[in-house]
Amino acid sequence: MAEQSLAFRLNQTLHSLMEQDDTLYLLGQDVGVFGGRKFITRGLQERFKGRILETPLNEELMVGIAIGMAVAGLRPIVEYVHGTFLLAAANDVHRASFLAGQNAGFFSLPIVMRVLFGGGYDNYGIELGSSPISFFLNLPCIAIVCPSDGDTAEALLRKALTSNKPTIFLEHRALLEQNESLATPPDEFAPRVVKKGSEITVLGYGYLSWLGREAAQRLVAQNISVEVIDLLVLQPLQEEVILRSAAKTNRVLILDEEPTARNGGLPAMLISRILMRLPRTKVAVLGARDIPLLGRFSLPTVESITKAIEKLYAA
Amino acid sequence: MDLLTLYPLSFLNVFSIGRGSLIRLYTTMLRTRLVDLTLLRLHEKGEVRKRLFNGFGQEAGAVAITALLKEEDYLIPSYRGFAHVIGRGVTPKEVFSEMLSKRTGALFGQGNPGTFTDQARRIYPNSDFLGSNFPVAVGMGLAAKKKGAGETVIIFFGDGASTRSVLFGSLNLSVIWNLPILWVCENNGYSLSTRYDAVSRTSVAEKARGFGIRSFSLDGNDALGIWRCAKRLIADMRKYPTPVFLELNTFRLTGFEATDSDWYRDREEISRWKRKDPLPRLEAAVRLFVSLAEINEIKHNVQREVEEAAFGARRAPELTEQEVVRLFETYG
Repeated sequence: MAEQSLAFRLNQTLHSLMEQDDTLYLLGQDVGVFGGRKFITRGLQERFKGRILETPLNEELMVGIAIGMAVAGLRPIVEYVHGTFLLAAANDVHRASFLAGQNAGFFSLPIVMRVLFGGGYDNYGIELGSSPISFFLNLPCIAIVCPSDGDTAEALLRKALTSNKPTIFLEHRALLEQNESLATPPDEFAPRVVKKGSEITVLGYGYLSWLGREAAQRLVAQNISVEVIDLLVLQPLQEEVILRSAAKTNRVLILDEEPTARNGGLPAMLISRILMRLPRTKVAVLGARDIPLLGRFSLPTVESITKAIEKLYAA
Repeated sequence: MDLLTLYPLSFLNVFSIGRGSLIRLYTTMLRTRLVDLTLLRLHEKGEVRKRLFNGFGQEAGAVAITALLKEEDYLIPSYRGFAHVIGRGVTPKEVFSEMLSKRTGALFGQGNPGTFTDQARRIYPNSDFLGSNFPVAVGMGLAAKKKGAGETVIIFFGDGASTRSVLFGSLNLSVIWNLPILWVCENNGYSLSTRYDAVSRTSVAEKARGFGIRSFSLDGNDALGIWRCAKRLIADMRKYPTPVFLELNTFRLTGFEATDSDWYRDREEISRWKRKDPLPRLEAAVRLFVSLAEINEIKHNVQREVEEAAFGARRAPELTEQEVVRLFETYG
């Protein structure tokens, strides 16, 4: 684990918060001695006895267990090694979205579901690597956040661990060893501009924000001015920064890891938000290919993003 | 009814309970039965708009076990009947208020059928998606164990829910982590119209035993036998946190819900189980200690209590649509 990598920052944040708050517990596979995937939980089990629980392959139970712990006054963190595993607990994620409110606030559900995702960029294939985002987009009360560097990872994790509502905390596998910052640390938890531009807006999150920024930098040579926005908080979505940019450029390219370009999911949500306010905006989506494989031919690359921007520019 | 011919051995349990507790158990079961009957009547009149899952015939386990709970124990009731929550101290008026959708109900009348969430009494919502509370029990067990104050988690569920695969993962975790959870399966032989013996080769207790959990299969209509067994088990659990599995073999003396005519079940089987109704059975035991006049007085008092509670609850107002939306928006 390199110093100050995203994974390291997550580890340090967990150590720090777990020391301050002894109701924080963590469950997952191999989170103890092994230190969790990419060593994000390294050192926690020795330091916080009894609060780091290794589970067997029980992904379908972990969110339900978290609900029970939260109802009884603890603050559970559950680690999901792949995004699609969270689908195994989908009905409990659904419950987490309404249970506290339905029961008149008699209890709160401060649950953090840490989900390592983006396995399509990490050679894990479609069954493990598919992004689970669109499955959970319409649930009330559940925050979905995706940091893009160490600074935002630390800040968003702190916020999640001190929130009283459930959070799906996405950890992109392709960024876990990233040491650099994508941009200066933001003031608020909302979409942020990571590269200023005036002719095209590109919306990305996680690793896609990096790819988008690189594509934008390549296009400087062609005199195309691209503004790249890193979403950070997918839900609840704050529209101001996005709308301001769309009003300026009139052209928005949305990047995504799911093959939902035509149908639904995050791109459709963003498009509907933009077009409802700015109906004359030209929008385009670059998602995964519509094939049952997830790998180097499926997902957006710097090259394919560059081409998509050029196409939108010419439209 | 001839006491000695019907339940010879189980009557020995009478002598382990004591007069006061025995009368309290009986009063609770009677109160439950009368609340249940009143709700059925109100449902027929259209005043209960929620789905109504009467618990006739299944009261023994819930009444006996909830009598053994302490304030700090967690209760996850099943959706059928009101014995769990009434045994836990929810009053008839509170039950009527919520079931009649009145603003005075625990969830302002807006809760799902049979849900009486109560922070003070540690009653948690029964699940609609049956089985989704199994991992919740595990989570509560973890919290209870952390506190180390002898708190236990009691979860009730039916034979239908027992066929959810998530039960077995949850049981396994309760064993390997030594969680103080009392898993109580009220096996009434039917999941709506599906017979338990058509979908299982073994009893639920035997399945649980396979995971290494102490399991017992009991006569689910013998309140005293259940009380005696559960008392010992819960006392042990408070000292040494460990899960225990109880299968209570019982029967629902009613359709699946109030609108179900129960046409698909054998009339002979229903008659046979009617003769094992836990309420007269418990009354027969109480009669060993208490005179007929006293029993009649208890009946009269509980009847009046329930009638007054219904009367009071029926007069309360309901929330308007705007009030519901505004209120629950603040909870969102």
